[in-house]
Amino acid sequence: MKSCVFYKKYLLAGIYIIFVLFTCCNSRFYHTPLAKICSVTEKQTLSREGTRNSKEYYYTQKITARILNGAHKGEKIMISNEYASSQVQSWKYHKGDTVLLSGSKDNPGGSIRSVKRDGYLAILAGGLFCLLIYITGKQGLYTIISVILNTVIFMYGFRALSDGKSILNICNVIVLLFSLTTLICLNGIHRKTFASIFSTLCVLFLIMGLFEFSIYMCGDLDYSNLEYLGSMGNSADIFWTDIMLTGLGAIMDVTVTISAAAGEIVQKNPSVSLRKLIHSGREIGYDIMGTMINVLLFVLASGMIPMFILKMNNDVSFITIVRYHIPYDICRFLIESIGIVLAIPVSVLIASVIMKLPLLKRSDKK
Amino acid sequence: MNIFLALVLLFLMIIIGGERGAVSIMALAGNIIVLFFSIILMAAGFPPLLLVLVAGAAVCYNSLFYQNGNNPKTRAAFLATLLVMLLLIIPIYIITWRAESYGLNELQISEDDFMYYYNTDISINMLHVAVFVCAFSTLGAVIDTALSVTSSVYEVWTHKKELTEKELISSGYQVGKEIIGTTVNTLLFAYFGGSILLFSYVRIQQYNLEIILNSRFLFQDIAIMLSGAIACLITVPVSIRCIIWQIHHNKTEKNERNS
Repeated sequence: MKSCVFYKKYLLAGIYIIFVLFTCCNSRFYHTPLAKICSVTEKQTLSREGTRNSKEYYYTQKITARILNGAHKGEKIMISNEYASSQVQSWKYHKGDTVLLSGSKDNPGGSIRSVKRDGYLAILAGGLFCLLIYITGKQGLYTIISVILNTVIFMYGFRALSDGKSILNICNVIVLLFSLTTLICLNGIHRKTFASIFSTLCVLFLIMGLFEFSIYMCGDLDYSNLEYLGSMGNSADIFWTDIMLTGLGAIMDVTVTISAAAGEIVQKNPSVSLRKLIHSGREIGYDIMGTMINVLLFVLASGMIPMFILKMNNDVSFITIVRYHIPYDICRFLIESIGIVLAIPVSVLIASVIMKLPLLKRSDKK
Repeated sequence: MNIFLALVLLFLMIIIGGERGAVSIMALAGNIIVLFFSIILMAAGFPPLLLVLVAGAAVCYNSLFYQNGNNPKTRAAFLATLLVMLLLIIPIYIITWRAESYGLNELQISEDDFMYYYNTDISINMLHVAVFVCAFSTLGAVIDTALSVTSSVYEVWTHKKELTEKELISSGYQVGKEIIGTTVNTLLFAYFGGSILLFSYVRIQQYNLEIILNSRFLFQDIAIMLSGAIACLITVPVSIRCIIWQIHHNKTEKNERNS
């Protein structure tokens, strides 16, 4: 039995390595011309005064690269590339990088479009999946299934969204599907699962109501500064979806923890009173509230740091950025935090009531 | 509107969490202040790689010791978080560097603001900033995981002191299993929510699949999400080791005191 487990682990590691190797040399399947950089020589061309009175150096690279696919396969081309030392919007290339070229397969063109990154994506995603299975075993497998299912649902929902169907309807449907698949995958079909699904939906309903109410009270946000707005007309609707999805994971996390704990208590002591159950649910809730909000804070805030640095070096003050450039992100963070806090009493109540329902208990005994 | 929402949040945290809610608010404010000073310092040219260690330790200290008190559980979680961060900074650095996922992404470059208004000669190495961002965004989740694991193992140990090391380890893994699934999904949904606008924009631009798969805008966010999940997973065994070490440490200290 033990050797079987070991065998499986080696098999998994083998699949991972083969997968990564495949993504590193899949150039023949590409329609975009690829090239591998063989040698690089670089020269400092000029230095300019940057912001904060510091020096910014510019370099020119002469790159020799070998084309990996298409009609010109095996030929060498010369590319020149210029980059600045802070590398904000121009980048330094290294020997051994595989790059996508700007032209077509028959005519590769003379400039670099971007680095080939699919191999690195495979390393990270494969590494995560392997670690999930190594460390958490069967539960890891269910987690992977839930992640894949959620991604598929997201893609379908997104396609339906951009086909111009009613955002509200799609949103409601995908949120329902998300919580169903995630919670059933992670917890199995169990009474506490239904308690957590029900409380997640209730909390979502509450925070979206609060969002609408605050728009009604204080006026809508001005969406014209939203990043990647492009030519989208329905920015308010998209932001609505955005808010609904961002906190879903965190809210589910809270409701799962509380319903699981309530289930545990009822299982150990079936005669526990409703009041006592609610009391111990609240105790657990206090423990997770603070850390969950911190998780969201770091996930949402760190992504904005490069933008802050760039803008603050261009004489935009911190306060201005907070007030005019990122009110959406702040609003999102606040709404999700409120969701986490609200999830505690809501799921404590719902889980306690569902666990104590006498009708369901009888069917459990069979 | 944000002020209104912030007031609602504070009100709810105090009503629902009581005294501990107030402590959570203070810890949250502390973390926001750390973030604020990190941004100010980095924008002034302070090296980000040095800052990630200092600010990371400050955040750990704040979230663990201030919020949950100084006890073996938080000490073990603090140690585990620092170890995981130190362990992961190097792979994060290598992947960010080789995949060139730092700097502005393709879509941001083509926005008017960056083309015409902003001067990008800022003399700050964006690679280091990107490493800072990646490490920091995982920090919250790592602290959360570490604290859950250490406190439950410690709780098990205080109730049943005769448990062997092996049984403690397996109870730690049991807890780890339960929290990892939801943590991974938390990170996933945070990514989905934030990227809806990005995806709609990409759809309008009609890039083909190869370009999207190799693009910076996809890799930047996904790499942060995936490395966050990986960091949480690694935290589980590391924090089990740390709490067991703490338990042993306490035992020997007590024995010395008794004898």
